Amino acid sequence: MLEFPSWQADEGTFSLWWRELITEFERIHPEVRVDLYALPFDSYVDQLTIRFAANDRPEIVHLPARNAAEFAGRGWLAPLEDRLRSTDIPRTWTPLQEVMALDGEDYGVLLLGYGYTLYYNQRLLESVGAEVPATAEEMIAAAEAITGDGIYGFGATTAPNPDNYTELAAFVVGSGAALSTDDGAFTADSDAAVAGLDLYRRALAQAPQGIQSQQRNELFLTGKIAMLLDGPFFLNELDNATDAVRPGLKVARAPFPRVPGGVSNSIHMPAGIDPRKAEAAWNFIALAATPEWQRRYTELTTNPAPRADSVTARAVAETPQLELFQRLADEAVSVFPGHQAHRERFGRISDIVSAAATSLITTDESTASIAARLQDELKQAMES
Amino acid sequence: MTTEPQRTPRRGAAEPTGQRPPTASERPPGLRREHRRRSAFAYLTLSPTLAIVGLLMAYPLYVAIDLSLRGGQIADLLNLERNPLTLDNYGDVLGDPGLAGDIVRSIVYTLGVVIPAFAIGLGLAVLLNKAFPGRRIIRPLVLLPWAVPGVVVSAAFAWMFDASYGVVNYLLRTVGAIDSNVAWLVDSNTAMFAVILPTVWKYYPFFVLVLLAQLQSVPNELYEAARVDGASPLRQFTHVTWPAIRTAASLAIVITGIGVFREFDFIFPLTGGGPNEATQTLAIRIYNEAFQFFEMGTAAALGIVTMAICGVLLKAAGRAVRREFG
Repeated sequence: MLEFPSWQADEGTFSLWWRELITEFERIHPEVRVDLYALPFDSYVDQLTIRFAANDRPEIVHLPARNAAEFAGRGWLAPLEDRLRSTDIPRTWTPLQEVMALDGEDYGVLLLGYGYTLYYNQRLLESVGAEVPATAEEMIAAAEAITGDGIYGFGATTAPNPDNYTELAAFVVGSGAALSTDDGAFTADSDAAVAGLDLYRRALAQAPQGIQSQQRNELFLTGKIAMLLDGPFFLNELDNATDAVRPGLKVARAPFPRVPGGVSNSIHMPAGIDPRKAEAAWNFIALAATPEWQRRYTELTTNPAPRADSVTARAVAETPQLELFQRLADEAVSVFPGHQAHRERFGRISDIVSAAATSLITTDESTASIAARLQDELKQAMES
Repeated sequence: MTTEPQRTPRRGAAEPTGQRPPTASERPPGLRREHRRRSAFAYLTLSPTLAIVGLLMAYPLYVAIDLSLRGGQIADLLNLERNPLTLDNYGDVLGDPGLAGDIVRSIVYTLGVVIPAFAIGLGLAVLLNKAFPGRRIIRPLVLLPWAVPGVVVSAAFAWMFDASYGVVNYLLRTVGAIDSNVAWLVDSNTAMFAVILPTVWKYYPFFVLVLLAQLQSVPNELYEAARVDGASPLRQFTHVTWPAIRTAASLAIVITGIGVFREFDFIFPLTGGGPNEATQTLAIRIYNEAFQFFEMGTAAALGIVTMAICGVLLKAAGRAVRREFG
């Protein structure tokens, strides 16, 4: 029996893919059973942390990719370098797979890397005579024109939340800057980063205040928010929009010179489990990574799978947006830290950036001053 | 000539009879054996309870203390001996300039909840102690918030405080108290108030329950006698009601205060300790250290520090209560 907790176990299309994959795996390996069960995403990492700390490890480890380095850094994940070398994954996978590496060894397989997409309400844009924005300035101008009478030009997480990091970093990275470099230097107070922070601040000034991502989604789907930035997985949410709103909801390239990208989730093996179970867990991961199952992933979830050439003609016919998603994923520059020490302490970095985001959203303090404090706090966090 | 100072017996203390019970060595051998047998039987019957308490309280406490004394990143709670024994975690915690802020916020939150919750509870208890039409219906309604889980209360208040669509802003705009919407939960100036309010709503029924039970035991004749003597309602309260409920009130305040000091359910769903640590109490800080930053040793040391603070508060409160009992 391979235990497999996941927040995707009851998540619409992802759940379908996992269950089909498990059925096939159990057909090929009749002596093994996979026990997939759901844990809520909000407490998922907490629950897994407790289990790993208590040496009670599931055989298949599914993680939000941003947390993978922290788990690997604690010795909780098995290195997969040797196993990966016997596959074509290193050659065929998205470049975002690099976030799985720690000390030169890969500790997991990325399941979804993506570029940020602009989701917009065409009717609301047309109501102020705005075109689909191609630049951040155009997006902010359209948002300012739309905001009023309970309608908001832009939507984002405006309450303190880990999502603050990705949303803020998307503006910074999209502008061509970065919060830190791959060699470990923080650059949050550089002119380019301050410009990106300022764009973030101006865009979020047109968003409902004090909301989490769930509320943001709800408001977008009911026609109260005109634009938002998110990954390809948000496309499935559009089916929940009201009948009057649904036809006007469209997707476009994020309005930045550079495509900010994120890593969603990844699959791993725990360190120190029974070798037979480890072998079975690896067989499961290897099956998930085959071209056939990567294509199926794309078809079922309408997200570009990490393996190159997984977007099939049939999938595009059913979901035309997939072509754009694939292009954006190929171009994407990760919003997450590249330096290993930063990735191992991402929780603290995310918390500090979230505090800066809150200051940008809720105070009148100058952007340059907030950026300077952010820079100092990030440095201190890595020195402590 | 000196005289023995006369001590006034404390209220509630047994009158001295001039006799004291015999000590164990003064008892006849037969009685001693009987006493030992009874004690052994008593311990035997208590042992299952002691074992359960030991498992549920002593062992986790031992693990927490052990964890707090281990250095380095702790990745395996079942193999703590892998990490060296050290006081570094305590050094980090006590040397952290942010700790004072966490303690102050915990105290502000605790006082901000306990004082209004007690005042509301006392007022309602006095009111519900009087006979009036509909009292049977109102009593359970008043106690209803106590039955609602904290997380559910938080979710409801999160929507009420919503900056754009919340009913709080709507009502305040309607009566002209504010010109534009207030982002209650993300503004450093209002966030603490926004987490205190639902906690008060949840805790005041406990005071109603305890104080009302105590008020029910006050004989009506005392009030009648006070009225005959011409005492005003205020004097009736200060001279009849308050002395009767003072001890129960002290205990309820202590119990609630310690509960609120460690409260997590209300703050985390509403603000997560933000914005910018404006509502980060010790409980939230411990959670963040353990599960956001993976600093298990630091989190455990903070937990022990919090326990010590609660112990000091309990000791002080216990002294106050003992003074009440006499």
